[in-house]
Order: sequence, then structure tokens, then C-alpha cells
Amino acid sequence: MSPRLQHTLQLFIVVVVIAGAACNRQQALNPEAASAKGDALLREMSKNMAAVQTFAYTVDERRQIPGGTQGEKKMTRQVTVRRPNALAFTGKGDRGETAGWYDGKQLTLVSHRDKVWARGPMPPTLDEALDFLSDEYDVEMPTADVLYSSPYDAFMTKDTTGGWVDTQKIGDRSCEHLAYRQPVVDWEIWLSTDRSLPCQLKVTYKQIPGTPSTLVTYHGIENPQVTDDTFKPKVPDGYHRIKIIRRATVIDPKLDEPAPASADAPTPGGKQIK
Amino acid sequence: MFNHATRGGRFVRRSRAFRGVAVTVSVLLALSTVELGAQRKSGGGSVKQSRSASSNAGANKSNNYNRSTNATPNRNTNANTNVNRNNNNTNVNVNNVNVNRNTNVNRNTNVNNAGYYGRPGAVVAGEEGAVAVGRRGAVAVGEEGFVGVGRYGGVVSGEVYDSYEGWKVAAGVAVGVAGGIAIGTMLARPPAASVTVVSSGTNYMYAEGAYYEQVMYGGEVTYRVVEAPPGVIITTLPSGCNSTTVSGVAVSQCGNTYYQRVSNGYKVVVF
Repeated sequence: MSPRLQHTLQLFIVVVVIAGAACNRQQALNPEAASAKGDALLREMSKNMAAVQTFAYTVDERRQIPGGTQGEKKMTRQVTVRRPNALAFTGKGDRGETAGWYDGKQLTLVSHRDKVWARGPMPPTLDEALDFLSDEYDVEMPTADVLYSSPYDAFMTKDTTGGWVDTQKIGDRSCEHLAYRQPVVDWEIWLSTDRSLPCQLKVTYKQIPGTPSTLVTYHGIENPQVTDDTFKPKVPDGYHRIKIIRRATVIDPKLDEPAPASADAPTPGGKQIK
Repeated sequence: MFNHATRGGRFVRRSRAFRGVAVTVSVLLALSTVELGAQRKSGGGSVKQSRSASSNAGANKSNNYNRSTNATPNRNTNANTNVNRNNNNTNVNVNNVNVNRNTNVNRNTNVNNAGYYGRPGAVVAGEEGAVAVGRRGAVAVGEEGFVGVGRYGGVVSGEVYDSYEGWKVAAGVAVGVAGGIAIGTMLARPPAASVTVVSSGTNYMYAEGAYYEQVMYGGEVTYRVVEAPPGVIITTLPSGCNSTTVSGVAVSQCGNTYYQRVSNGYKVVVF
């Protein structure tokens, strides 16, 4: 290599490094600007997700427990949603193969590993159903936030701090990286630069020992053709029905007053599904 | 498949050789259930779910976690024989046996957390969603209208542990293992030494004197400790059983469970 060519190459490398540094400086926003940009991106994603009535996505979920005995658990989940009251999913991973259907009235869950199924009542709308899944059936669904009619409101609270961080590549997609802190969890979301739809989501559970986290990678969000049959439970022949257990309902301490006259009389506090 | 009607409450009346012979067996099963103070939650929920779980389920923000577990089985067996005669009528009452089985599992979980207080009772619903609340515990009216658990619904009455060994460790530290695993406790997987037993067409897992049924909890198949299912036959009695006689039947009493010797092992019987 001639000295002149060598100098040219060195000059090129220096230019690239300087340009890269300059680019990074451009990305670094002050906290107020980062918060505003993140908020705008999150609202755009929320608007986009709320606008689509029927959609489906496939995600890879990785639950990590640093230093824990359970290590990492993986699951691939396919979810189909039809607003306002239908959802179907399948899951396959370290915890076996599962399927579930919500039709506005009931939740049906199937465990193919155990060849069993269960069914329980559900509220009439998807928003209520997502809360009910967690509050009553104790089902953890890391992607639930983006399924609400307002994902922004599911994510954000008054005590949430954070904003836009940078632009990153998730697979072959360019995605805007947002990071937020809340008292209970820290969470990051990557939104596709071109469509403002979720590329990836990470939730770190700060109040659980070991501070585990869940990383969800989206493989595109599509608009499939669905029918009512998509959301009808499909329980294979020979599977046994088992009970579905609901969590105890927390009752307001104000209700913890002297016992009613009749022990049989229902008291308020227990959630009822009509 | 799951017929709890015969287990939640039972009233049996039989007439045999003698008129007036009444054998009344009533089983009163009172379950005091609890909120779930300790959870299987190991992370995995959404942002909103996590906030909700933290505010509703007691994240133990103040680091005060007080648990007392009392499992107190009370059994009174009263055998009364009354013979009343006069010139015209002969009434012979034999074997007026009242067996009162009171199983009280009192587990009080107090989680001190800003804005959250536990309550000595918890409520869930059967499949039809009917709920009734007893002050001292959960009373769920299920699909068939019986007090106890619904046909397919269930009452959360215990905590969830990853394994039997995990329960042993936790129980040993917290409350002592002597009482055995409490009814309602749930395990993510059955004990390693468990075997499958069948009652009324339903499969149960059995290990060390405890019976487990499969339930769906948290979206996953979980194993929940239940009362010994009548009719189940095990090959070997658990440790700590005593021989006794109830209603003239020689049985082995193991905790709250009675076993009758049969040709192929020991059969769970309910009086």
C-alpha cells in the first residue's frame, strides 16, 4: 500500500469516527426534550394500536431471573386480537404448549402438555378482560399493555419518568428506544421508526427478589383475516377439564366492619361477573 | 368430573333392620381462606399488571410480613344408644352416631403495606360467578349451589410453591412442618414421589399422606392440596396413623383421613 493511499485511509477513518461522534451528540437530548420526544412517540404508538381493530403478532418472550435458580425461560406466543372483545393465543416454550381463547364471555385455557383444559367467566370488553386476567386469574401477560384501547394510559402514570434514549436496530428494523422508570418496574420499549409500532419491550420487576425481567421481541404486527371461529375454543378430544382457580379478591379495609346480621348475606367487595 | 357436592356437605340417612334406626352423618367442613400474601409471581406481567399486583396483592413495601398458620383438626365422635319401650310401641334406636368433623384451617396473613390491609377472608367465584362472603372466610357458591367450592370454580386458599421441596423449606422456616401440607396449598409441580390415584373417574396425585388435584392457576397447571377423595386406595399408609374403630369399622386414622383395610391396600372412607 502506498503512503498516499495509507494517509487517505487514515483520513477516512478519522472522518468516520468524528461523524459518528457528532451523530451521537445529535442523539443526546436534554431530559426535557427526551421526555417530550418519548411521550410523542408513545402517544403515536398508542394511537396506531388503538386504531387497528383486528391484528395479530408473534412474540418471543424471555424471562430472565439474574442469579435465580430458574434461569431463563423462553416462550413463543402468537396472539390474535379483535376489538372490542376477542382474543386468541397459542404459546410454546419451556413451560409447555398452551392455547387460550377469550370471546367476551369466557376464558378457555388448554395445556397440551397435561392434556387438560379449564374455563372461567370473563368481563365483556378486552380492557376489562386484561385487568381481570391479571387480577383474578393471576395470568401474567407481558404484552398486555399494548392491547388496551389506550396503550399509553396502560404504560404511563404520574410517577413515570424517562423518555427517548436513542435509535437502535432490533433485527433488521430501525427502532426508537424509550426507557422509563416507575416505582414498581422499569420498562423500555422500542418502536419502529417508520410505523411507531412495538419492536421490543423489556420490563424489569424491581420489587421482586433478583429483579427479574421479561424481554419481548415482536416479529411484526399484522392485520390477518379472522372469523368468529378464530376465537372459538378448540379443546382436543380426550382432554380433561380441571378447575380454574381465581385469586382472592382484595377487599377495602373500610368493609372490614362488624359482621352482617346474616352470615349468608353477600357483602360487597367480591367481584361478580354477570 | 369434580363432584364436590358430596364433599362440601353430606347428610346421610339409612334404615336397615330396625325401625327407627337412624344413622346421621354430617360433615361440616369449614374452610377459612386467605388472601394470597405470598405469590408465585416471579416477574412476567405487563407494566400495568405489575403495578396492579403491587398495589393489590401486597408487595410488602414496609418489609413487615406476619404470617401465622394454625391447622387445628377437631374431631368428636359421639355414639349414643337409646332404647325406649312401652307396652304398645317398641322403638329401638341403635347406633345413633354423630360424627362431627370440623376442619379449621386458620391462616392469617397480614401484609402491612401502605394503603393495603389483608382481610381474614377472601372471595372467589364458581363458574357461574356467584359469590357470597362469610366474614370469617370465603364462601363461594358454585355452579351447583353448594357451599364450598363450585363445581369448576375454586377457592384460593393457599399459597403457591414451586415444588414440594420448596414448600418444605418455606414451611420449615416459617411455621414448622409438623402439621403437614395444608389443604389449599398449591405446587407448581407435584411431589417427585407422588403417584396417580383415581376417585370417581378423577385423577389425583398422592404423596406422603396428601392428595393433589390439577387446577389451572396463573394460566398454568398447578397442583392443589385437597381433602382425601373417598374411595381412593393407596398401597401403604403414611406415617403417624393410629388404629381406631368408627361405627364398628376398624380403620386407620391418619390426620383427618380414615383408611379401611382392603385387599389391595387402604381405602379412604368417610363416616
